[in-house]
Amino acid sequence: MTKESLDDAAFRRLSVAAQLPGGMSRRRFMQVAGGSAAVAVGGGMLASGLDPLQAFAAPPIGPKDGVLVIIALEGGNDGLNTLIPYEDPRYYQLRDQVSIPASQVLPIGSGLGFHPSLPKLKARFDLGQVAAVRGVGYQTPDLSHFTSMGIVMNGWAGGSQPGGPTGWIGRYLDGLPNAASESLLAAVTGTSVPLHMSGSIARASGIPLSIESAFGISRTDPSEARMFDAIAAFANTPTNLGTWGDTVADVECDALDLAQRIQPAYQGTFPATSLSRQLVLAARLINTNLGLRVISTSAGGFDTHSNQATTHASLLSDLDNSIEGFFATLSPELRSQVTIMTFSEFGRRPVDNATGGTDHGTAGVQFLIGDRVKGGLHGTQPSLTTFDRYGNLVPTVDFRKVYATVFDKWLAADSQQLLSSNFGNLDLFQIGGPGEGPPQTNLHSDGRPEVAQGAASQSFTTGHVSETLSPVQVSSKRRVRIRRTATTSP
Amino acid sequence: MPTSAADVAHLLRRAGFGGTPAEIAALTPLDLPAIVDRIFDFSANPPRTPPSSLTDPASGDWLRHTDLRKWWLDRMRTAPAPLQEKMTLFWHGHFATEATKVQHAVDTWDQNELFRTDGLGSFESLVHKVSLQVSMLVYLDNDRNYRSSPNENFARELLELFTLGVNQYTQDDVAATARAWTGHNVDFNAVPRRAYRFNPDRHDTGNKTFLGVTRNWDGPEIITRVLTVEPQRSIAARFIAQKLWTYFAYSNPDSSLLDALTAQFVASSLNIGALVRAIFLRPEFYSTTARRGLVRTPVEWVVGVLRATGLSAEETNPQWWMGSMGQQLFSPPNVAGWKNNAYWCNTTSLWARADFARNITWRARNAGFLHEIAQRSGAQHVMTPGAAIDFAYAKFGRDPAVEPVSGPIRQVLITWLQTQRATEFAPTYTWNLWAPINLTTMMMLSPDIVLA
Repeated sequence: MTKESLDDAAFRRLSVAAQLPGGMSRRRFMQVAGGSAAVAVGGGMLASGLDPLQAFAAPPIGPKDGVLVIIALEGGNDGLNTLIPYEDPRYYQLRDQVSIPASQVLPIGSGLGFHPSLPKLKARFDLGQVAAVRGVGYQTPDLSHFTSMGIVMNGWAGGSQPGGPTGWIGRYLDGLPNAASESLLAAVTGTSVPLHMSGSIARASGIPLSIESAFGISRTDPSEARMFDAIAAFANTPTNLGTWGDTVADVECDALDLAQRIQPAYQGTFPATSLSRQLVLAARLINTNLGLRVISTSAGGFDTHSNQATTHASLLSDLDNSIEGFFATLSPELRSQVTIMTFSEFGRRPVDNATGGTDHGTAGVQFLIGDRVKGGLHGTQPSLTTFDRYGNLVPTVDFRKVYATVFDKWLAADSQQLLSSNFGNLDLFQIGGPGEGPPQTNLHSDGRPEVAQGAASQSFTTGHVSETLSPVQVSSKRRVRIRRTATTSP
Repeated sequence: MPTSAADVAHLLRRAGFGGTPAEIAALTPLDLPAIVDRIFDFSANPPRTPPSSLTDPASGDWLRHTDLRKWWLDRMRTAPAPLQEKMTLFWHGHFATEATKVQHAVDTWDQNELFRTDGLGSFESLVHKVSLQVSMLVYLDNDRNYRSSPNENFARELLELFTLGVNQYTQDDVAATARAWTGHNVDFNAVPRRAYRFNPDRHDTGNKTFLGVTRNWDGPEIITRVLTVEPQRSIAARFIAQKLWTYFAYSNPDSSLLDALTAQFVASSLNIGALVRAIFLRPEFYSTTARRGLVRTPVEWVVGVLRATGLSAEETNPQWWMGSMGQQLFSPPNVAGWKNNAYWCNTTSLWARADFARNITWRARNAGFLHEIAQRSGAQHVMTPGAAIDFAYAKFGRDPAVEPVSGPIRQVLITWLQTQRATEFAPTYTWNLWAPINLTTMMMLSPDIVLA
C-alpha cells in the first residue's frame, strides 16, 4: 500500500492528519489469517462466536506495562507563569503586567512556585508525585506554532524520513504487536490524530467525547446488526478504489469495532470542561483495560497574546482540576502503572507585551505526574538575564531527553532507535518502573514520597544538560523497530 | 469534440458538489474548454440574502453564526454554478478565522462575501482586502498591534500561511512585518459597527528591514512586495498552486506539473481564475490518480447527501454533527484551516458521518425519497438486487453506467440485499421497509460516495 507522505504544509500544522495505515491492514490480516475473509457477508461478522476483529485485539495491560497519558497544551503554555521564579527580581522587571505576585505563588522551594491556579498539582508535588522538568525546548527555536509543534511531535534526530514524518509515540506504536491492524494500542480524545500519535504503520484511534446512541452501539435489532456487519465487510477485500477507498473502508470497520469495545467507558456522568471530560474518559478507558498504551488529550487556548492573567488562570485551573479528576477516576489497582505527561510547542517570551499578554517564546516547563515518577525539580531553570537574539529563554533540556526517558524507563522501549540518537536519560522515574521490572506496590505505604524532594535534581548541574542539545532536523527518517517483538511484519 | 460523461461527472463533483444526470447530459456534447467556461459563468446564481438573524438586534451572534452555517450549506446545495461556493470554501480554509474569536457574525459574513466576489480574481487584491477586514484584524490580533509593542500574530501568518509558506522568510522578516502593520487597527466605537481604522500614532514609521530592504515599510506594502517582486512572487504562486491543486485534484503533485501551473499563474499576474481554469484543463486532473485522490470533506459529503435526498440544511441541522466530523464552518481547528484526506479518515469523524447518515435516512423516508428505492430494494422485488443497488448508487451521484464503482463493495451490498430480502418478512420482523432504509444509510457510507 502506498503511503501519502505528509507534505510540509501538513507537517507544520498543530494537529496533523491521521497517517494512512500501511503494512498489514485489517483487511489483509483477515485474508492472511485464512477463513476470516470467507465469513459470509451479512452473516454476523462481528457477532460470530470467533470474532476475527477481537482475535487480534491489543493484549491487555500486563503488570509490567507502563501506560502514558499525554496532555497537549496547545498554543504555547507560558512556563514562566506556570512554574514561577518568584524570588528572582528579574521576573518582575520583565513582566510588569502579567507577573504573579509573590504573595500568591504556591512555593515549592528553590525560589520557585506554582501558579495560584494549580493548588491540587502543588499538593501532589508535595507528595512526590510530580516531576517538573525545567527549561525544556530545542535549539534553533522556530517561533511558528506549526513548525514548533511539528518538531516536538516528531522528535526524530536522524534527518529526512522517506515515508514522511512520524510521531515519537507513533514510532513506539509501530513496534508493538499487531501495530498495523490494532486500533486500540493508542487513542486520541477528539476528532483528529495529531502527528505525535501517528507512526508509519500504526495510528491511534480518535475516540469521541460522547457516543450517545452512536452508530454501531446497539445490535439488538437483527436487521440493523446485519447492516453494521455489511458495512464492516466493506473492508474485507481491496475496494479497487485505491488507497483512500481502502482507508475509508478500513476506518468504517474500525469505527464499528470500536463502538462495541469502548461503549462501557461512557457509562456514568462526565465533568463539564473539555479537558476534564477527556481525562475522565481516558481514565475509564484505562480501567476497562482494552490494551491502550498511550492516550493523548489536549487543551487549547494557551496562545495568550493578550489578557493573559485571566485566561491563563482559567486554563491552569482547568488543568489542575482535570488532572485531579483523572486520578480520582483511575482504578487504584492501575495507579502505579499510569503516568501523565504534559507538553506544549513552546513557552512564551520572558518580557510581556503591551496588551497584557506574552508572545511566542522557547523553553517551557514539562510535568510528569504519577505514583511512580521521581517527584521534584529536574533540569535547570533557564536564565532570566541571558536570552537568545529574540529575547527568548535559552533551553537547558532537549525535549527529546524527556522522550528518551519515557521510552527507556516507562514504556520499555529503546530510545536510541526511536529517536535516532542517544539523548541520555533524566532521572524521572522510580526504580522498578515498567522499564526496569515489576512495579513495587508499597512505595507509598506511609503516604510519603520515597525519594526526598530535590534529590532528583541534584544529579543535574547547570550547563550540563544544555551541552546535549543538538540541532533539530525538521524532516524525518526511516521507521525503526523497538525492542518489543512484533508478531506481524509489515 | 464531446466530453465523456465520466469526465463531466468528475469535474462537476470537484468544481462543485456533484452534478445531476440532466446537468451531466447537458454538458457532454461540449468540448472541455467550453464546459469549463460554463462552470465559470455565475450569472445564473441567485442574489444573496443573508439569514435574517444577521441584522436582527434581538438575535445573538451564536445563533447568527448557526444560521449562517445552514445558509451557506444550502447555498452550496442549490447554487446553479457552485464553483463560486467551492472557492469560498477554499478561501475560508486558507484565510481561516473563527467564530468565537471574531464574535460578530456580520464580520464573518463580510469575509464570506469577499471570498465569493473576489475568490477567482486577483490574489494580490484578495490578500489586501482580507487583511483589512475586521474579521482578520481581530482574529490574528492586529487590532492590538501597536508601535509600542508589536504583535507578530498576523505578520507571521501573512508570510507563512497566506502567501509564502514556511521557511521562505526569517524571524527578522516577521518582526519587520509586524512593525509595518502596527497601527492598522480596529475602531471599536465606529458607527454603525466596528471598522478598520489606521491609527497614525500607533504606527511605527521607523525603518524596517524586510527581505533585505531597509525603509519605512507600511503594512500593505509588504503584501505588494511579496506578490509582485521575484523571487517571492513565484514562491507564493507555487504555494497557492500546490494548495489549489491539492484541493481540487490530489496531494503531492509532480514538480513539473507545479512548475507549469505556477508559470501560468505568474503569467496571469496571479489571477486565481486563470489558475483554477488551468487546473481543470490539465489532463492529470482526469487521471486515475485524481479520480481516486480525494476523500470528500465533511462539507462536501454533507452537501452531496443533501443534494441526493432533496433535504435542506435548514431542516436537517447538519451543524449538530459537523463538529465531530471535524469540519464546522466558521470554526476551523486553528489558523491553518483544514487539511485533507487522512484528516477525515479517523473513527470519530466517520462515526459522526454515520450518525448523520442514519438521521438523514429517517428524514429522507419521511420526505418520500425512499419510495423509489423501496420499490426496487424492498418487498416487491421488481428489480434484481444488482439493479436495485445500481439504482441507489445513481441516486447518490455515482451512476455505475457512467463511472465504474467498486466491484467488491457492490458485491457486498448485493449479497446483503439478498439476505435482507430473504429475511425481511421473518416472523421476528414487524417492518417491511428495512431494506430500503438500511440501503440508504449504507450507500451514504460506501467508499464510492465518501470519496470525492
